[in-house]
Amino acid sequence: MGLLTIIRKNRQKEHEMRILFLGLDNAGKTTILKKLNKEDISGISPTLGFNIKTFVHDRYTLNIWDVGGQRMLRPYWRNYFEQTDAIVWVVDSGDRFRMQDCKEELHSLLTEDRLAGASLLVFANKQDLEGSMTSEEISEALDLKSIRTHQWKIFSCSAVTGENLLEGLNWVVGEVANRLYYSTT
Amino acid sequence: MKVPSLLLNTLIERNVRKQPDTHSAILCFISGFTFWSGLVSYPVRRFLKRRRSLPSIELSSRLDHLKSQGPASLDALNELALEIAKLRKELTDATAYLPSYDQRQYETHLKTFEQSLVELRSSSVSKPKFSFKRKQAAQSGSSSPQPAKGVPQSTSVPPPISAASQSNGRILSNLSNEYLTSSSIPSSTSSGDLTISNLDNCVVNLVSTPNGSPGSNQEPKITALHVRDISNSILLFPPNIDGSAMLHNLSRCIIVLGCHQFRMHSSSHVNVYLAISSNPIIEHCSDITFTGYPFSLFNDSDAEKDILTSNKHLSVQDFSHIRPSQSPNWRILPDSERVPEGGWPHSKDVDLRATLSRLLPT
Ligand SMILES: Nc1nc2c(ncn2[C@@H]2O[C@H](COP(=O)(O)OP(=O)(O)OP(=O)(O)O)[C@@H](O)[C@H]2O)c(=O)[nH]1
Ligand SMILES: [Mg+2]
Repeated sequence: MGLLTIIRKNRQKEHEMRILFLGLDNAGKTTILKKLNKEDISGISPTLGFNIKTFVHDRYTLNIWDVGGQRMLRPYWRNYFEQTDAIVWVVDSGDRFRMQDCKEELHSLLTEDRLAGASLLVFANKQDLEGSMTSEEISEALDLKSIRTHQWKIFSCSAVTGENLLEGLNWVVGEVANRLYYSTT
Repeated sequence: MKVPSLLLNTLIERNVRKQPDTHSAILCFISGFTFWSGLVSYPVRRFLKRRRSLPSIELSSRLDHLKSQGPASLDALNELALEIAKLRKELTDATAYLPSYDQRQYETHLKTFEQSLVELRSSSVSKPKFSFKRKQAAQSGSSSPQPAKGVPQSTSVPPPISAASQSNGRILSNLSNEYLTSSSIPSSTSSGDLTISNLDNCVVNLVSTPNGSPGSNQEPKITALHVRDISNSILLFPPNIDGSAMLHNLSRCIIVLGCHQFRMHSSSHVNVYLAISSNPIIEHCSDITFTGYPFSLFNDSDAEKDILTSNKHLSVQDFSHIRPSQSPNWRILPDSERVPEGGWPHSKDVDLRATLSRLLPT
């Protein structure tokens, strides 16, 4: 029995997934998680360090790591890479000035060995803002189509209205489930 | 005082309180089984592992032992100092990811150790100059992976011009020596996000006051605010911005605003008058002051007047100074230095130059 089989077996029992929420500061990571968990979204402070949320979605237990995106904290992101099944990259669609920054951080993230194989969900958040960029514009600005190393998909959403959050989550959980539990190798 | 078990306990307690589901996983880990669990982050795991491998349970008993023995040998002291310095370094390295509660706990324990060491040293007969600890501390400081302070790293990348010009949101930019109000903002939409950039020597007044300012009747509703590249200016925003404020690259400014979240980057010499319900953030900033939103700029219709009595605007977190000590980059603005309630530039008719030179921080 190879190592991978053992891992898979182990996971299968637990039906667990580890999902990492990353993105620039102010993107809305914490707000999205609170909204998904039906918690109050007012009075959220910028994340100093990280939050862990565990919730059950379908038959799966999701262990979600929400790590602060302030510049000072970004060097520490790599401390959370191990055993990550999926990355959720959250973008503030109203923040045109920092799209370049956002693109660079994302692409450098994807070169990480320890994230190889992880599925990538991009949330184009804050669609409720009138001046926000569409998911097509963001896809362009972040050069998503150049990504060959990861299965990815972009969803436009709003953490305030809750629009499309579940759809995004469903997609990424489905991707990971297929890979971890239903692949035949 | 058994430090490691205390550390573990606080960690368990916290996680249990927050996340019942992770309880067993963490317990598992502690008994050495959770290789697969993935529930405890790598840094925390590493931190804990190292904490366990250090003989720090004995540390306190060794300290006690030495104390009871009378004068301690220099070797014994050196050894202890080295271990305490190691712990100190680990804690410093861990500050970015350890919850603040735990940080404080560890900090307290370390302080006790350090204090004991000081007592031991002063009670030992021979007192050669003892420099080990200091060196150690300096080393740990320089080896921690922190970007240079005060270097605005993002500003070196010019934003793509097309992106900024495509915006459908409201923008006020590229102006100097002007008094600006909401009627100065060219826009197709009346609400949503607002971007203010590239201003010098300006007053921006988006506050409607009882005595009325021009163009203030249809006060714009703002749900997200972006401010960047502003110098020598005063920006007055309403106390009830329904979203977050992001500010980059401000110098010598006064900002008055109320919002859900406040984040300021790469700025210096800014006085902030703030009404807020979360912790304000600064990063790569210096010479910033914080104080409460001015009473006189509150409108009677502003429902959230109680935010004035909240002191959240003083719980500033400086991400360039993630330590228990007070950040050198900001301070509370003393009441004596506040702009007097009647002194705000409400009206277009003010002498711009004189107002700016009188009110702006020096
Ligand atoms: N209008 C609008 N505002 C949003 C939305 N999502 C988040 N926000 C606001 O954006 C700000 C930042 O949200 P957070 O959830 O703290 O952002 P974050 O990504 O966790 O930031 P860090 O913890 O610093 O990395 C808050 O003021 C939120 O209220 C959204 O969909 N629409
Ligand atoms: Mg957050």
